[in-house]
Amino acid sequence: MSEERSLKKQKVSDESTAEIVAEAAEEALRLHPHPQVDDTLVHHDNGEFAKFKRHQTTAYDAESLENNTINPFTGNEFSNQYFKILKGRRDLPVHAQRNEFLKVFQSTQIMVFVGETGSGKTTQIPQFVLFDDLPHLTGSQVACTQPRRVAAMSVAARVADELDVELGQEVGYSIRFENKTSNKTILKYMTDGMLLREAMEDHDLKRYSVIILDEAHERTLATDILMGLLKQVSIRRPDLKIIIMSATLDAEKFQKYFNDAPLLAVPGRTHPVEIYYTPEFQRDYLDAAIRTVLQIHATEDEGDILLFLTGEEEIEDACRKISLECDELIREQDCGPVDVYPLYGSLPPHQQQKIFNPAPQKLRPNGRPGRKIIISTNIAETSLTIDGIVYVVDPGFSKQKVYNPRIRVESLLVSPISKASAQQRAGRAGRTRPGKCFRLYTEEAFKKELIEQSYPEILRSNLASTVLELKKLGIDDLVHFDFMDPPAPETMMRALEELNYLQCLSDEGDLTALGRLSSQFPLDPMLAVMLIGSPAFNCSEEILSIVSLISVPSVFVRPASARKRADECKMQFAHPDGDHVTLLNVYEQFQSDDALQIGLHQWCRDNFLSYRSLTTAKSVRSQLRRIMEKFDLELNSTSREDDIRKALAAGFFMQVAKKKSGSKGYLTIKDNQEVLIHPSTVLAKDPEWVIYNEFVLTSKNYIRTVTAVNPEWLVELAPKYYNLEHFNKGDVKLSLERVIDSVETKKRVEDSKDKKKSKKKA
Amino acid sequence: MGLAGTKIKQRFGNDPRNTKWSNDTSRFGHSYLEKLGWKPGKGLGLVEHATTTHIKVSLKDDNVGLGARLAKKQKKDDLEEGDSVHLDVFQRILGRLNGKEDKINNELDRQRKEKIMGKLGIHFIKGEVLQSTWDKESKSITASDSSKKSKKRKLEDDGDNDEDVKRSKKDKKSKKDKKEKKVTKEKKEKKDKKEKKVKKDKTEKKEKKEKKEKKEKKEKKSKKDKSESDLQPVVTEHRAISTRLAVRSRWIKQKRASVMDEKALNEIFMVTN
Repeated sequence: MSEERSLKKQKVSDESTAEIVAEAAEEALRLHPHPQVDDTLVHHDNGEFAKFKRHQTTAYDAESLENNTINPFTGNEFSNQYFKILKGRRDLPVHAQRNEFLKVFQSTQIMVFVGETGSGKTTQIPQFVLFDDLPHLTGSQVACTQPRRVAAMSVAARVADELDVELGQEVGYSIRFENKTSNKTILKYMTDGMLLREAMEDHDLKRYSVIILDEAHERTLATDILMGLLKQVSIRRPDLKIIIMSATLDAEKFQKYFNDAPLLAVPGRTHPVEIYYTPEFQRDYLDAAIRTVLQIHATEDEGDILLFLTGEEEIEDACRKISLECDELIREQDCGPVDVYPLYGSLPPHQQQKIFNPAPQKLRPNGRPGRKIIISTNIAETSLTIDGIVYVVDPGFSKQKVYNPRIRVESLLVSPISKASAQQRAGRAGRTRPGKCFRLYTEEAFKKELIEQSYPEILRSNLASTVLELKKLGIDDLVHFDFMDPPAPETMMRALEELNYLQCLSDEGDLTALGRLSSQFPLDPMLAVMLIGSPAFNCSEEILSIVSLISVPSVFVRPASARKRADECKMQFAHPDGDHVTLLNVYEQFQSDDALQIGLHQWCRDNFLSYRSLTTAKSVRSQLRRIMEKFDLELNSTSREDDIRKALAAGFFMQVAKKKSGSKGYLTIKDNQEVLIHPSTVLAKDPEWVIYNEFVLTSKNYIRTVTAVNPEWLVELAPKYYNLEHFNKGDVKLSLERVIDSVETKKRVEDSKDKKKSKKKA
Repeated sequence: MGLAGTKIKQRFGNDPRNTKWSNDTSRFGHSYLEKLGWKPGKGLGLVEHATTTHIKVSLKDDNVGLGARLAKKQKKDDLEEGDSVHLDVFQRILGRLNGKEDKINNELDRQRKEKIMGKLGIHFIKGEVLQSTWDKESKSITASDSSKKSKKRKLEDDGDNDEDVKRSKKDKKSKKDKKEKKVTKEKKEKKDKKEKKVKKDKTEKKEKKEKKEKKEKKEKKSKKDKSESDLQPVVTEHRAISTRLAVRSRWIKQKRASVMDEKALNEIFMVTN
């Protein structure tokens, strides 16, 4: 009797709480499915296109409709604004080759289209396609993917204007936290990630008749997977047309990958850029960059300067130095006035907008002209286009993500850029008129030290969520999936193992209920599993907040001028157990009436918190909450901090470090890396066992955002991971043995208590 | 950095590359991939060039610019070794013995100037011109040198022959123009040839390049004087940049000046005429 019971218990503990929750949720959904949303497409058709034969139209046909007074897609009259825009559109380089494009497009299933920046490909090609593919007559849609959310939104808005339709109706966009489309939509701009999500539900993407992958040269993770996927889908669906759009470089690679697909190229509107190298290497590229900028300002003609640096700190520092030195130049050398603007991802939008301000006016009527100096990370390399740049200063470095599967660290490291990037940077100087690019390295270094192409993201990332997505896409043979650049085997193994420990993949490698549910969350699988499991600990509301807060940039602001005060403010929120609960405190205070009364902006400023991060976290949270509701996951709340920490441990059990006995520092479990707790922690003492959110790679290895945990939880919650057989002899193993012993004694005691009780009852 | 550099202590754990994990072939990931037909040591996917290891990046925790490693390799060339002030004095003597006095004199002067200016402002050498890589007519990638060729021809007509480079601030501007043209003219020819080859056959590239470089190296030195575009460092700028470097450079300048002065040198070597 007792044996049976303990066996049963053993079996239950094999399945994690999250897995049980997921199975229950799946079962519930199967029994009570959500009401089907009616998403059949309704399109306008008044016979405007009656004369058109699908896939046989010419540019002349389309233009005659465009020149008409009635909008063929809505039946409304065109506005005056429309004709104004139309005139500009006809001047774009792509327009000259509309007929050629149509010929290639009609003759093949997959084509590669190459257009330099400024050719108008992103806005015009999808419209060319509309007039030839006529999706509204076949009840289908045209999709155009963008790597970035902002681009998808702004391009959709622009194209809606060009077609004289309302954004969200015939032309719409779909991005992670926003879907602005309707059942009238025929052209849909979306992030590549969103199309991938749609493919998880509909493996053949039946809703689309044409799919355009834009900015393919950026080789984002999602675009790479999509290309592999579309290559397969194109065989299953011969009616589906695919266009791969890219900037100049690498075009041949795409052609080759898609079985020698035909290529069409359109020139951009760029001016020549003279490139300069230094005669010898620079001992300090930052110093050299600043001096070059000053030198350009002092000696070169009018025109704005763009300087590429690697990160926020470096940029702010350079901004300060350049402003100071320029003031001196103006005083002593009678140079023109200067505005210096920083530009990086985490900068608030209104400050990012400043880069579009015009250059400052001359100080005197015949004084030297003013100049705008923009100091940017590599977001100005592709994503943002600033007109008026004539001089580019390029030290040749950028921060790039790399992933090391052996020690499981994904980090942003400063490393040399690629030749392709360097050319892209130089090209930024030739947008408005002939420009100059100053490279702070020798020509020899350019040739010998830089790699040809930047590594695609798939080679630089943790693939846990990608593998989950691939599995969800129905791709089981991960070894023979046709990656354009296959990832390293060890990276793939790590991803598989992580998913296996998280019980998203079974030991046979099949997707489990938990895996299927996790893939619904736009989160790292580890965080998704933690979230799904949290209702069992009565704290899903709290875990929701914590997960949202760690998926946005840091909420704590620490300006160089007021470090001490910022740290003091942070301590107000501190929780003795660690940083995760501290984050939760911040969020709860942010939502409190007190903060509202003071005004959220003011409150954030007073407390050295980032308003932007907190509001983003809030919107991420509500998005995640909606997904939880959709899958009937219970939302509950607790006042016991231990529950929260247990729930955290259930997710973070693979990111644990143990204090080293007898010396400072910690050792990560299993991977045995020596680490220190990052000084930003609120932990006053060094606890024996901690979970961590991030492993930061610098000359010292730090773990950041840490919370103390009880090792007994780890052993109970993830027995498979803490299987002693997988540990080397040593300190960690010894203490784990002790922990497991004590857990088992406790169990025995409880069991015997149970027995006594049942005996009494009997 | 030498002895003067800051010492950075770094401790490594027992297994910083976690070979324990990577050598363990009984792991789920390993066995699963093998089950699907992957062989250890091979890459994934259907292509041949598949990578077998993750991308390795060395940690950069200083501000040294690109190309520092190349510079180190080159140091065996003693003319390049400008750091040691006394050595170049002997270079002059050695050069005289070898009958190449003028050449070496010029080179040393150039280096001296560059050193001084280099500390204050920054020199640049003009490289290629980046142009739209798409040829309108043929609608294909133009091997970016066709545009350059036409330019080059034009420039050759101008043909100016001022061999010696003196930097006077007054005619800076006109000089600049001339020099830049020169650079394009002379550098281009070499590069064009090179580039074509690079594109044609990548395998042969390395050997040929090396040979060429050897040849070039000799010529380069004399050419360097001409090939300098001066996006000019203004001397006064040196006040504007009151970095530590500037102070140091002044000190070096003084030191060097004393060595360069013949009288002073004679005194140092106790030579009496």
